[in-house]
Amino acid sequence: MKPSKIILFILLTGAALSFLYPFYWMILASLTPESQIGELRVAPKELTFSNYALMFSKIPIWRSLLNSTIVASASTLGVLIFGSMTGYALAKLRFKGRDLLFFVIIFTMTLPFQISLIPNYILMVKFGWVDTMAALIVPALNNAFAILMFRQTFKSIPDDLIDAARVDGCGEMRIIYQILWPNIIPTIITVAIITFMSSWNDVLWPLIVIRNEHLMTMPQLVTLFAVGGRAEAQLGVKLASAVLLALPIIIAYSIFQKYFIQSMASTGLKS
Amino acid sequence: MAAIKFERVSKVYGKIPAVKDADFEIRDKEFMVLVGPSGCGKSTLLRMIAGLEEISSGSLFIDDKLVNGLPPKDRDIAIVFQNYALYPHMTAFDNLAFGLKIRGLSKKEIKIKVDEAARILEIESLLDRKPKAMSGGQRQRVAIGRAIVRNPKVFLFDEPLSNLDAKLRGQMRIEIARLHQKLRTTIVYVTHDQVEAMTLGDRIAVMNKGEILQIDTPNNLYAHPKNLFVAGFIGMPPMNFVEGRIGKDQEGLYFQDHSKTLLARTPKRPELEPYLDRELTMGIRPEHIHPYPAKGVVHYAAFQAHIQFVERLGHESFAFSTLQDQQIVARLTPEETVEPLSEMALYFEIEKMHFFDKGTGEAVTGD
Repeated sequence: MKPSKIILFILLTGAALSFLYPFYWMILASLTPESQIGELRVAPKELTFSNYALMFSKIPIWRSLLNSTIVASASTLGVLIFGSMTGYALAKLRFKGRDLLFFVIIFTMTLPFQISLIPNYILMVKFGWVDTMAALIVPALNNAFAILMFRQTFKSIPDDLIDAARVDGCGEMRIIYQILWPNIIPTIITVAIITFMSSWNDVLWPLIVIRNEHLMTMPQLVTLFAVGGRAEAQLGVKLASAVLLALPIIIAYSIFQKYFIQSMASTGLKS
Repeated sequence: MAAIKFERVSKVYGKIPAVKDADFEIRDKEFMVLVGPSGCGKSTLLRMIAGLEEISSGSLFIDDKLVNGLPPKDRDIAIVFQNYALYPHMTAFDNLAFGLKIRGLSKKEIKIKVDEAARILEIESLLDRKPKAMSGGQRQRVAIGRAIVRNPKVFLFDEPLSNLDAKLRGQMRIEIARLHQKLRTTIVYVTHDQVEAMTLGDRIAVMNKGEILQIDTPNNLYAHPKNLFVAGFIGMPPMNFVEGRIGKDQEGLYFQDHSKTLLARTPKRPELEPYLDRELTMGIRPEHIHPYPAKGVVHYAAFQAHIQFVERLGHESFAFSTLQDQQIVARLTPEETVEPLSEMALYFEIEKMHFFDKGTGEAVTGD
């Protein structure tokens, strides 16, 4: 191997370690008795699950895991269904104001979420959805990013394919889900991964609309637990909850690694 | 029985007319070719028959039934697209079966029909393959299979051969003609290729700028073009055009080009009389120009030409010269030898000249 390559690999390994070390430390610290966390370097002197036991006793973490799974899955499914319907209409159907509508939708992407936070909250109050899962799921059933992704992908599909399906007897729904979906799997996976991740990691919106501990999502519960004083300033317990929070995404990543990288590359987004 | 009738059918995109007042009938079992340059509205007309394009005004009848508002699936038509439009995620079998499945046929019926279509098109060995694993020609066969499997009343072909190479195009052309003989169904075929139009069509509709300029049999279109556009569009190489004037002397009427290089006496063309002292465009097909007087032809107009170059194709050759800055092409038989860069007389058969009104472009006379 050339010396220049060896140097490159050393540098890359260093960079990778600098990213991995905090995770390693977090997992290790969560397994270390509170008193020893301060001295923790690379290997612990003693391992314990007491931090986890304490966390389980204090907060309904399994319940929040279930809630998060329900919310993220339902929103992802919704975004795939409704996002592709909207994207299809904007790409392939002809109606007045179509392009204007698309630009308005794109424009909403430039607005920070915080701007619509209060109006959305008021809406939730009026619908009587505060402290229900509907407040977490319904507003997340479609989004501008998914619409943009589906529209662009559908635009690249020849109209003749859709016309052939129409002549074969397909309605618009069948065209989207039976003819187009099987041909845009990379886009579906990209949208699904990004939607699932952003829903999973969302803290602010759940904090606003959910107060009942049994309806809380995992990040919300963990955040409240870590900064809300219930962890009693114990770092080990906070880190144990952080590990549990990161775990599903790490598992998902290891399964869908290929698509994760593809989707990040294809969207040019950093998550 | 599936005749298609257009009654003053128009299509407008915003303010741009794509088809203007189409008013004609495609007879039952007829092979009708719509031909014209890109953007002439031929595909739009076809898509209106399919129901893929709304009709802005007028009425469209299939089998005497008004179909203006009828969705494509209820028109009993099938369409073959230029880019095949096969479902990429399905095998050839599933592509053929899809339309039948939606129509609720049983698996057994579907299998029988797909096998029959596959047998007709000789694509049995492709049925397990997905479109990606097929060549262009194979895909086109499967696309035709998808059309015939439903046994529709009308077949629509939208430039189906333009993505194929020249050799395959020739083969498929013959197969489509054979298919028409076998199925005896109404076919509407859109193309910009006049060879396809001439060889396939029972009748041809020539379109330009959204208008149908002439509908006729291939031979009639070639021999009796109704206007300048049709005359120039049908025929390869195209008809030669020379602008000039009708005059009269003691010998009678004559046509003379503006540079006075060519003089054609036209005693047998009384229809030119009203055009005396007026400008006309004369058209003559390349095969009616010869390097010497041909046997049995009495009336000639000759001019001294400078042969610029000669294209030799073996069975024939084309000699290029100019008259009044207009290119003149003569189609020559292998016996009629001409050398490039030579000076020689070219003989125009007067009987075969076409004359067109310079203002309207309409033909003044036939042969």
